[in-house]
Amino acid sequence: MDTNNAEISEKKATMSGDDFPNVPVPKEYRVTWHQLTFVWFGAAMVAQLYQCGVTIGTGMETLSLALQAIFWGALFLAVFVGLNGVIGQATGCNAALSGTYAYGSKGVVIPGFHIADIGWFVVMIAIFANIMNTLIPQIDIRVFSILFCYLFMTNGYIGFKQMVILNKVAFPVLALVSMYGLYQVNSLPGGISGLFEKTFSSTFTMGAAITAIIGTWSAGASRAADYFRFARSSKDTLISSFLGFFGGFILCIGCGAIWGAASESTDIGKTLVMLNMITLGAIMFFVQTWTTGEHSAYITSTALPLSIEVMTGKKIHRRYIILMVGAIGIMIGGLSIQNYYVPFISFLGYVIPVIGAIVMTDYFILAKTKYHWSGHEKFYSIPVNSQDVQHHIFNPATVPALLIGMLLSWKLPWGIPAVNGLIGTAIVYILFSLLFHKIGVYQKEVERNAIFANQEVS
Amino acid sequence: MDTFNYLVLAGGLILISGFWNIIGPKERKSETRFVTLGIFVLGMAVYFLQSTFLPH
Repeated sequence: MDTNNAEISEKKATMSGDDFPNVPVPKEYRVTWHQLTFVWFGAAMVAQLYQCGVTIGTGMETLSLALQAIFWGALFLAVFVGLNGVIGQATGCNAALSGTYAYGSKGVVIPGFHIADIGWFVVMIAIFANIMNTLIPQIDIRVFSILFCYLFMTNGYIGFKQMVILNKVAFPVLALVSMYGLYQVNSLPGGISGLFEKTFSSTFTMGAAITAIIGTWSAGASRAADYFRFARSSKDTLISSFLGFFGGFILCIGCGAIWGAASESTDIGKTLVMLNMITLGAIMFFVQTWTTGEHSAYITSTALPLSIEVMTGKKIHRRYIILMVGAIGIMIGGLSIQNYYVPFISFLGYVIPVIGAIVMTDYFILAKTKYHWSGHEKFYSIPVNSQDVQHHIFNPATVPALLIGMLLSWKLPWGIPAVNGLIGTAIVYILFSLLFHKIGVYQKEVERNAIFANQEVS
Repeated sequence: MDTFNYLVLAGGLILISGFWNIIGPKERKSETRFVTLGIFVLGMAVYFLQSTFLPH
């Protein structure tokens, strides 16, 4: 595809009203930092964070230790989100498309073909249907599941702007309910300050607690480019990461920890009952599950079309992928899927950060050296659909990096699996890139660059 | 109980379908109508199959 074709492709995407799954987001479609902050504030808040907060709040010796662990875990994740977001902002591409630079124009199938978020969409709805079935046992959990799957793909099917509106609604609801919960805790004998004097049986070390906190969002953070490709500058990206993601994450998990410390129960349902906020809690979980479900379906719909196009040559609209995700949810959401949550989330923790690590290492380290696999300098400043990028088909160094990275993530008996995978993949990727450069594996890429450069001159 | 659940499901599906048709973009009106009809049929069929062959 030459530059003209790339321009036509961009115009078609613009005219179709699609959210640019196959092309960089044009400058005129970029949004302000406060719009992105709203999106991330809603996206950062997931029901599991309250559950994690309640567990950490009652699982460390004191509440102040739990809050320290939450702060460091959230800070790590916000930096991770920000770095991935900078790549998205700089290239204008979603996480899967920006993978073209690191994986190659055919190799991009690897980061694009992650269908994990389909599972995430279904699991979230199954959990919420279970909560609603507990509150209203007369209605079958399968009826709840079918209806929520249908309702929660509404905004994804219609477009990105509606998601901003949803997250704007989610923001005051979540903030108010979280604050009301703190007010209820403060109304208990001793109040919030009394909680800091309480001691709990310690089941988490500081390291283990930070591990659990990072584990809740490491997979999602590796795909931050999906939203930050709409950012106008890297400064906006970093501001939104810290105000939106960090703020939403801390509010959600911090409230969970304080609620848990007050109720001394790890059961979020019992905690809501004790704080006399069952109805408010149900509303909050409804909004949370909707925003998170939307986020999962949206990510799948931006990643999968690219892989399908590479494999079949056919373009599929984002909204049809959303329909497919919803249909899968309708078919299996009511089959006690929530019971498979822990093995599912563990699998995501092993796999997704490893895939993201290659893109981060490629952008922040190798692209700034002469050892980049493409043989280009400033490779990321070349438009993703231009021939200069597209003729680089597959980066062989990604294969050993992925395999060894996943093995390290899965098998190392110490540390944080996601972090082990991330660092291990980065090191292996750099080593193999240097090795392949040394033995001449990348020589043909450099030769092709010269051929295309000559063609352009002539 | 089963009739009640069928009624809730059908009512919910109709409400959401109506919502989609109201807020859906005008240029995709016929597509939205077709999709909502498809989801209604799918939802009812899935519930019938699950409640018949996989009872609690």
